[in-house]
Amino acid sequence: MRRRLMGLLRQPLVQFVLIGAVIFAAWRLANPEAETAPTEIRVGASELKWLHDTWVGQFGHAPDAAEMASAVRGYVDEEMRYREGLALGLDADDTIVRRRLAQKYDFMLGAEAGDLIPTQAQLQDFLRTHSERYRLPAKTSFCQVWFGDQAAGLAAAQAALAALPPGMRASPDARLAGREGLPFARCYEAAVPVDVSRDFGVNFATVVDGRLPVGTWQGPVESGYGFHLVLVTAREAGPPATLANVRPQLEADWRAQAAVAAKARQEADLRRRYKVTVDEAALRRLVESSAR
Amino acid sequence: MRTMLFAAAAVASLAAGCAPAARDAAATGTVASAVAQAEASPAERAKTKVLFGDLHMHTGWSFDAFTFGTTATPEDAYNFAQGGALAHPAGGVYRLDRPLDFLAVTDHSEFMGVMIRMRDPSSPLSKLAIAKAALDRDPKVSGAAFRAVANAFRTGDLAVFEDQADTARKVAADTWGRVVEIANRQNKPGKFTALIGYEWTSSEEGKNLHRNVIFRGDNAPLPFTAVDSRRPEDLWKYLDATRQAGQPVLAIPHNSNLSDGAMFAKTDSDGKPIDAAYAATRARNEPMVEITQVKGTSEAHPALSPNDEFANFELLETYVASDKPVTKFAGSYVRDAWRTGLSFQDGSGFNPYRFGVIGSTDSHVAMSPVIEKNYWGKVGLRDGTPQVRLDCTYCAGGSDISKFGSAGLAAVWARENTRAAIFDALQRNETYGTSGPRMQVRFFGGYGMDRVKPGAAGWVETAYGAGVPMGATLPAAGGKAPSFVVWALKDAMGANLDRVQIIKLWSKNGVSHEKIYDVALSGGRKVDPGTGKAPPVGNTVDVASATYKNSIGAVSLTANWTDPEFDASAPAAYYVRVLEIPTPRWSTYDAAKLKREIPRGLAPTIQERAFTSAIWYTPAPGRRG
Repeated sequence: MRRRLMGLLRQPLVQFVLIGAVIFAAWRLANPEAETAPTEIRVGASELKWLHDTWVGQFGHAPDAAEMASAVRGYVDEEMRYREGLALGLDADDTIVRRRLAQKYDFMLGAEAGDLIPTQAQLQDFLRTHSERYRLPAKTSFCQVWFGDQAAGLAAAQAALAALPPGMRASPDARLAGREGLPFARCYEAAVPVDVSRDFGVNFATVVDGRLPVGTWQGPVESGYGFHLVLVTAREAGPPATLANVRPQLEADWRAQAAVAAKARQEADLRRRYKVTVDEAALRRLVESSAR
Repeated sequence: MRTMLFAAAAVASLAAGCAPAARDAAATGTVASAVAQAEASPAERAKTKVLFGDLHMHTGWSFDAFTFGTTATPEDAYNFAQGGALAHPAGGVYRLDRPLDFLAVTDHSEFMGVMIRMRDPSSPLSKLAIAKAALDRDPKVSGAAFRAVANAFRTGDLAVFEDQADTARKVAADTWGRVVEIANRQNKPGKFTALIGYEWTSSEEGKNLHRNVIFRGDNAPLPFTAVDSRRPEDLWKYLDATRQAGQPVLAIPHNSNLSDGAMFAKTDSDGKPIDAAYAATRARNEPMVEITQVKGTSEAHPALSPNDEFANFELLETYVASDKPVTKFAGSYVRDAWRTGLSFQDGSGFNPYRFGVIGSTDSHVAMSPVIEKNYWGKVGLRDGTPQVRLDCTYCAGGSDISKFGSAGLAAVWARENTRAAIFDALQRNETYGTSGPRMQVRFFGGYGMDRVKPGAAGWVETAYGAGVPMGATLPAAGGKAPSFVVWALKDAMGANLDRVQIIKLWSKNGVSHEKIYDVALSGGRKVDPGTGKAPPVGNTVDVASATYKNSIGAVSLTANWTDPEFDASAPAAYYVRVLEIPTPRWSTYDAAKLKREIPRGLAPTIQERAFTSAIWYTPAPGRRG
């Protein structure tokens, strides 16, 4: 019997009714003479304050007397229609009302997550788990010489590399008979990928910033303009970010992740609390009939 | 039922709140003036680098963009320009292949941010009858909302906002504050420039007179709207007053191609002949024109330039958001306007149309559609998928969306990537426009340019020392013929170059002329002296697979050129057009994706291009040197 009662108490509907009863009792205690008839609308101090604050939030300034009067009129109009609608039972099984309430519920949860303020330790921890995502871009120092496009450019670059004396294979000053005409420096210091691809195109940047060996002239490397010989003189992996230099991004990402996690928790929780039964036979019949 | 976009060039306007007092109050804050480029040494000036950007961008805060399904904010637009990913209202997530160097978000000033507020159930705007249609995902339904609002703005009758017209004004003013705040936060001197701007959306009887307003500094007064006035002369008064209050500002007209001759007319808004005061006012406030964008290219029209074999490029010949044909091409195209200006110079001694050019997109989805291969359209749900673009699903009664182009970009020569440096480059017209690719183009004129070797070490410094760059005026030199030097480099991730042309415009005895010179041709081709034309570069495009090869054309083209028919008494302008080899048009990529035929009437391939600002020659000492 006792177990049966506890089971009943765990039912959401029963909980809802009980909580409602408690709130109502408390409200009656706090407002002993509240006996408003259903056709009376009282716009009291708290409603007025709410209207006032909503206005300020919306328009960024306090309403004057006329604006306040119009806000009150709007509130009263809405309240009357709301009550009439409720009396007619228009809220039951209304798609818009259902969806709106569900959205409001989601919004409430989302707003809660949005208000979360991560602690220093939480941020530090988040950064540690996602350190790759916040790594600062790698920097490459390199020199390049351009030999033109098409087969002629390729051949010229290959010939120049082959002709390079062994003593010059690591020298930024190696004399290489390339072509003039590109408006770019021969040597770049600590360039980030976005700057390299801005001048030479993404493919060239990928090769130079990535797989090209450091220390000797290499190539030919193809850019948007043809073929180059390239000497990578230094490549430093992007330093891992510190809390100080990525904090705004980190906070936003942490919050987004917290919101997703909260929503997932909530969904799992709801699914646990509800027993859902779908009429499988009816579902099958419906799918089959529409497939025909 | 006619359903279309920009229903009305009528977009004429809405009415953002513009209390003069508030405007004056906001008009504070001065901008530190950079060392003027024109006064710097040639060595300093040679440090100019080309920067590519978009000066015409709408977000969900534009009334029309919201009815196209766009909800992205200016914040999203600036993030996208810097390489971020952004979801498209019609589905899909897009990213640029390379970040832009600068962006101005230019939402319509008329009721900025108002339509999107209808989404917020706590706003009284959400209760308006119009809100329901505006929020509908079906473009045919939201189109009705768009038309209703646009018509209301055109007539000045704001009944569409019922009793909430004041709310709408306040929302617009509040929105502007956020626009300025976001641009300031996104602006990263040296790395990425976010300019403050908006679009003034005036049109008369469907004739497009739209201008983008761009600020140099970090503060800007409440925008001028087409409800305040639809006369450009009134916009200029506002701009003059703003400038006098210490906030440098300029306006950039666009879609002159859809103005039915009104953009570059020979009379003012009252139909009175243009005079010297009008010319000076216009030049002071509108030093630039947008020469190409999604809604067509405004350089030249075959009807005005029958001898230009490349004039038929990405033309749009119906009014904004309408299927009504434009009837008048004179006064609608940049080359024609420059010729008109030279005739004024020749006859009356002043030039109302001495302006420079840039390209931009006019995207309404917060992202710049400048790559044919990765085109996402301009108007959200209405042209956001290959299917609706090729089927022209939402074309009825409006623009033929299949004629929209994937264009364009603004290129500026600036010494650093900052608001001041970019604004000043616009002001002195050291700029060019492209149809999307990022080719580099330098162009100098002078009286010793024949000795400058373009591309050789140090040539840029020599050229700055020996003459003037694009956009400037050559002083007269006792009858000596001017010489020019051009250098063009292909886009590092684009197609090779076909040719470089110098287009000369001049006026003699009040009659203007034009002549096109092929000054550099790839592959050793020569101009046929009989026809005056060069053989075509060829075409490597495989239409079925929408691919091309850079096996023809050149990586770089350069030229020295001296005017062979110079007349020292005739005012003249010289500008450069650089053509790429043929590549697939966006519609060809779409058709290949869907394995369909290309719809009839669409060119399978196009030759993308750059158009530079002109170098001017004035017989009497130049007024703007």
